[in-house]
Amino acid sequence: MGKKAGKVPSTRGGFLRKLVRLDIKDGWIIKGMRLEGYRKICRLEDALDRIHLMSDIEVILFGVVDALFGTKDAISRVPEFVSRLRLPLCVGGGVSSTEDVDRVFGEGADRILLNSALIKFPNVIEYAMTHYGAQAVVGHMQVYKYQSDYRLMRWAGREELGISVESYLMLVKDVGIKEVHISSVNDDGMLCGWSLQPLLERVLNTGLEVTVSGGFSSYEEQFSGNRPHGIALAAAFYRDNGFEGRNFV
Amino acid sequence: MSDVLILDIGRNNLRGICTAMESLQITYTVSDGKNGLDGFSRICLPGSGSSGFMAKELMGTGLAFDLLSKIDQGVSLLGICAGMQLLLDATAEGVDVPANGLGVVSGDVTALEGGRLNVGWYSDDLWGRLYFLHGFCCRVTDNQLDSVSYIKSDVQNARILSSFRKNNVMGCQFHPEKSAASGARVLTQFLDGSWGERGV
Repeated sequence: MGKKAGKVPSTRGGFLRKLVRLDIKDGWIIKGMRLEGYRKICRLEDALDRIHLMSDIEVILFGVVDALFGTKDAISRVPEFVSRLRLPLCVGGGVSSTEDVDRVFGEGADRILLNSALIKFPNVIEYAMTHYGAQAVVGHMQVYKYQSDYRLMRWAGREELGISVESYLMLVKDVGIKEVHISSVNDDGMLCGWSLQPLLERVLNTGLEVTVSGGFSSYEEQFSGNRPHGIALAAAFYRDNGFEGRNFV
Repeated sequence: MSDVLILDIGRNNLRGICTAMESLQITYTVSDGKNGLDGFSRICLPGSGSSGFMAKELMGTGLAFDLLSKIDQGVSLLGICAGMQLLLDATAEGVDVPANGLGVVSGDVTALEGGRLNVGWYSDDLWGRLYFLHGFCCRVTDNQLDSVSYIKSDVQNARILSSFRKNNVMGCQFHPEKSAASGARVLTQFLDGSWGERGV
């Protein structure tokens, strides 16, 4: 069944945080390449069966198209997750109201992952920070690298957010968020490594806690410079833990 | 009626601890305490959020007095994360701070060095691997603790208080309801009165 993840050194001399990103659509765990071409991996309940005995990991449940279509797939699955697993849960995708925030935390999740909400719904950010604490909110940076330029995206990498990386980081710091998750659109699902090291250095210099995802084949991935504080696996995690790819969505 | 109360003081993320209790096949009652706290031998005060916000809710409703009274009567109390921080004299987290805590354990709550977060799984000498998620920590000055444990985190030089016990009051900075098997052991030892006993 499940297995414990091993310990690897982090940039701070401690242990690297090990995360799992479960991308979900219509109750299916899905995986695409560069956030497109999604294929079904398994039902959420099957994924939970495979990981419920694990420890030493954190889970991100990400509704890949929830923000794009205005759906609440990830949010609606929180009770199912919390009822099965005694593991920390971060929920992202489609959180756009204070009601969504209360629902996510009321049903047992620990953190929310917010991308465009930082710009479009600042009242939601303030509400979440005030009532649930700064540790409960994680800023999501969906990054598309075009030549030497890093572009922040939303809607599963389909549209630019319309704000520069520096402005986004200033906004994150201004509202008091203390952690960001950087997902690489270019590397997503490719299992060929993560190509945003220069961006990572810029973000680490802000003092924020930083986790990353997109393209990793293991937690032992080598970095050319400083390491992030945590790595989230998706395709590699499914591969290593017996999830089975099925037909396309 | 069960003899375990999970106290709801608003937005303190009850669902996680409730499902953890259910997984241990423990029956429990959830209440905001407005009708009193009678009939329970164990009270759990979960906390996921701002301890300052929770402290104001506690003090504003008079629930603080009821809790202290129950502690004096020998009821066992477990504070989790922000719930643990409420057991101290004061907290610096939130708006209009410092806010008063219950004062059951001498000390205060202060921000981690550099205002950073302590997130992730760390090893506690007493309990094993546990999940932490917090930006504030307890600085305890009480010399009458029956047990105390710390973790060494990489977010600050000073070690971080992980858990304590003072008579019938227990506190843990980590989230046992999110710490898999190790967390289940913590809750079990709170429930059966063997808190901190190794090999149990």
